[in-house]
Amino acid sequence: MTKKSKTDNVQGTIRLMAAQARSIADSRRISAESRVVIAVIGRDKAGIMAGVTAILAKRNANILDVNQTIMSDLFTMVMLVDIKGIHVPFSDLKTELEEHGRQSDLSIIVQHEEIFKAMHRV
Amino acid sequence: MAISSEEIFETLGMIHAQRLDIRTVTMGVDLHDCAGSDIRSVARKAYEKVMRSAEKLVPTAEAVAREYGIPIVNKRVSVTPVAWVAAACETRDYSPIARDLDRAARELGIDFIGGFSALVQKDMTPAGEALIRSIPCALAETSRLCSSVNVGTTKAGINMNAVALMGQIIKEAADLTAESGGSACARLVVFCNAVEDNPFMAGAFLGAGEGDGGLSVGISGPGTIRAVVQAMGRDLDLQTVAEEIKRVAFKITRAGELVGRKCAARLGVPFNIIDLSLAPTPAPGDSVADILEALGLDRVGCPGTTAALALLNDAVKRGGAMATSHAGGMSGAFIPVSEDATMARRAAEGALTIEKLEAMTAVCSVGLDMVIVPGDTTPETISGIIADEAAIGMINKKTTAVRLIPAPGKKVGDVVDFGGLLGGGAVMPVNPHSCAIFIRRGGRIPAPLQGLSN
Repeated sequence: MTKKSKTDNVQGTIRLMAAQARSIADSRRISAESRVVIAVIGRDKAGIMAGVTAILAKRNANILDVNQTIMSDLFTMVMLVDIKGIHVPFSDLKTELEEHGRQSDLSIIVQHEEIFKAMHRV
Repeated sequence: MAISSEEIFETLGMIHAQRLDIRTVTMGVDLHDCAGSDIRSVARKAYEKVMRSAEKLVPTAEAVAREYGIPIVNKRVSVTPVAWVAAACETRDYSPIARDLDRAARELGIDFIGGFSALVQKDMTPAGEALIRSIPCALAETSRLCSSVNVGTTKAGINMNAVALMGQIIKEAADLTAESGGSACARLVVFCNAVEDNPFMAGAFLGAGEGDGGLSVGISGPGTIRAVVQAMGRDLDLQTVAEEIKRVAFKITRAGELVGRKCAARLGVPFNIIDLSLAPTPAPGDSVADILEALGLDRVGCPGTTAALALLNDAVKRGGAMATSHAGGMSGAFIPVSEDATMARRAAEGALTIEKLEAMTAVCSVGLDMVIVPGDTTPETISGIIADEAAIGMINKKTTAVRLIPAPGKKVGDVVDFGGLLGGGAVMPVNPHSCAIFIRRGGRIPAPLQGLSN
């Protein structure tokens, strides 16, 4: 292999890696926009998680992560949800979840994930 | 790294329990292209331009606030100083422009529109003087319009003719709105070293070098900082306290920057600046005075107050400056007396005096703000207070401001209520001795050596 083609190879690889890094960054940017945090707080009882997940399933929202604990009789749950595929506007899903919260005596808060990233990551 | 549940609940606590919010998104609208010789046509063009440019401001801000779950309390517009826009007009009464700007704000659902302003730090043009003389009527006939006058800078010195005139103008504005406690004065601020990208009222206007404006954000969050200071207890040293305040200021600023950028992008305008100010409201707990007292002061106004405020102001700037590369505006702690429930209470108790407030303004933004003084305070005394504040700003190369309300017919201890974010409070005593001869001299206080910085 000549010296010139070796250099070309190295540069080609570097270009490829840069392109990949860009595409990963792009996909992260898009996914940040489409990910929302759902926080549920209330007195513990049967069916809290089922109620919330049923709404998400109906609207085609994809649950990415769930963290749930009971702290002195208080049910707390934090969900990370991808809303890329939902069939209704985000604001409608948010209203539906908040309304469900009111009916079930739960506090349900729905926010874009970006606000948490902005505040807690340098 | 994924966000932990603790971090999520910390943010939710800040928003829902400690009243973290975005105080304002303020959109700049350049009005230079509305100039002309017929005041009615200038007013109409200004009205149409504001209506066109800020048409989507309120719905956009509300949608972003909802999606990101953080309230945006006020939506505002700042315009080119009207003294520039109206300079070619044949008439000297600029209140038709004031009325049309106010009408635009009302129809758009905007809380305040700022920029009925003149910059006269060295001398007044005929238009500058005409604008100033139009202020009392303009404010009395409107409800959302805000007005500001810059009477000094570190580079130019202090225009004492303008200072003397502003004493009279403030009195006139108060008298025209006597039935509401002189409330017009709550929308009128006199500056030294005014900043051209300030999103906060009453002093917002769009400076000459600001382009078409874009969107600026004013953050808030005194409740959040008080909660952190209170949680630390009484034994931690001040470096540690400052460090913690800095951390919270970072988080607050990042939230503000995100919201500002999202609003700007959806409106299709550039993101201008974020103002790192702790702006209190009369709501319980949303108080800068509460932070100072949590630091260990018995009552704000006691010895130590200025030092505590200096620490707070600097820590907020440090955290905020790390969180954004576009800090601007005032960027510091605000100490508006009537807008801060604890501040107003301490003033009513006599713990906090105008003289102490004046000292505090040397170490924070912005100035003697929302201070209610007796209705029989003379114009010369008001001018003297303005001159003192302007001198602090001029010498220390910082913005200072005066927003005094000489409440007509009210005496020391009487209570005046302006409602909403403007709050209310007791009339504070003013030093009774006269500076009338000094003020009547007029002329200019020369720019200080500090201004020769090149």
